[in-house]
Amino acid sequence: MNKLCGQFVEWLESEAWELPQVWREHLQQCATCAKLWRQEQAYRNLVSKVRSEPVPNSRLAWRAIATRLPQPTPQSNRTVHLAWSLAISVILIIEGWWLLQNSTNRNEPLPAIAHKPTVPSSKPADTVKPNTEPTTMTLNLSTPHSDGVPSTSPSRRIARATPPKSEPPALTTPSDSEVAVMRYYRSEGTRSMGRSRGMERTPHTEVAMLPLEPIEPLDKEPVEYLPVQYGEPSTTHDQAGSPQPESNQEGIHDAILCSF
Amino acid sequence: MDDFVSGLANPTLTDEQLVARAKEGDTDALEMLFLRYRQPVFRLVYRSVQSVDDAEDIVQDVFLKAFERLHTFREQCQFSTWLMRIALNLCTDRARTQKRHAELLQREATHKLAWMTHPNPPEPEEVFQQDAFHEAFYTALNRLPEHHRQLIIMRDLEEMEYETIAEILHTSVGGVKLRVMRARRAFKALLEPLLRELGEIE
Repeated sequence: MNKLCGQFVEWLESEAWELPQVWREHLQQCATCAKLWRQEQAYRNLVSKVRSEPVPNSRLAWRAIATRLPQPTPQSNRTVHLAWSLAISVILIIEGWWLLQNSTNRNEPLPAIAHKPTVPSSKPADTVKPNTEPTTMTLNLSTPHSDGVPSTSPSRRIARATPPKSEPPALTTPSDSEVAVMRYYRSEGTRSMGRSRGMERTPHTEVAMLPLEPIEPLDKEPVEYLPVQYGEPSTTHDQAGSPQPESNQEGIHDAILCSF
Repeated sequence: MDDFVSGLANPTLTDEQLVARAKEGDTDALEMLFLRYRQPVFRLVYRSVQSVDDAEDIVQDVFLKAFERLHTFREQCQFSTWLMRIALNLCTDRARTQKRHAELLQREATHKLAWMTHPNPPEPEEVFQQDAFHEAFYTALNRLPEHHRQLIIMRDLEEMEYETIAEILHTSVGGVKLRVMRARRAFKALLEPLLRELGEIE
């Protein structure tokens, strides 16, 4: 009996609707299972009634959704935008690099010459530290073939500070000539002051070379200068009363007399 | 003729095709999906919240959320299942946040308004009996835990297949059958005294 009741409960939970003959006979004999069956029927009827109740139609319009939706960005458009931005970035980088290279080549400075000045012997030896010797830079701006020969082309020349014999070999690499490093003499007291305050001062000063501008000569045509004669003061001749030599008389005509 | 126009004319355009077009930014495909699933989603939500206005709000949120996150939808399940899952989650959120007495008041007002605006109102005795059964059913239903309630709605009211429920709930069919059985037991236990009051059972 109990075994049949258990099977009947399992059958009830299997969602079967048709009551087989076996269970009809069992329900006539078992009051507990009959009660369960009535409860199940009541439940099924109730669910069926509720299920059959009409559900109102949704009045939701597409406009209510569409107005609140963000603007769709299709994946293909996103890919195209990404590709374009990438291409533009690459072009800009290449152009910038090219411009940088171009400007570097155009403004490449002439070789700089570094040499050490001689320390005057009159100075006390303790004022000069052997490892902090100053280095001065002299820029040789003249072209190699124009030494001592005036030419019509604009020549740029800066006088050398020392004779050419004492010149050390010129710095020819661009890294050497682009940035000149100058050292300052600094007293030991100043350095110690800086260190004691926790400030680390760099003893170097970088001097960047500006691009050289061509110098246009003011006088493109050769100028004829008037001859200048240096002579004695005129009062000397006046006092002596002697006539001036003829050779000098002609020159005096077009000459500027300078007297000191 | 545009390809999509022909697709609109042809109702056999599948959900997968519409979703693919919607992912490409086709607003018409979104609208088509909305029109296709508006009422099924509304039915499920309405069964859960028993209020037209609340159901409309939730359905709107369901579609907004679904369309905003459409790019995250992978074709591992059906679009309809994914949509129902979102709807159930939003119903769960609402059930957690809203107090029960407020729901009852809302439902009562909705029923009264529906009865007053009914074009052919039934007889008062019939209305009373129907209303009493309806009230008893939803009273017991609202006392159920949320996971039981959703199963009763999906299986007994909406008559969803076990496979569909399993897909929505990310579980197996056997697991769903077991859960439905437990939910029914709990529901019958809550419903029995109410039905006894109504004289439906001894």
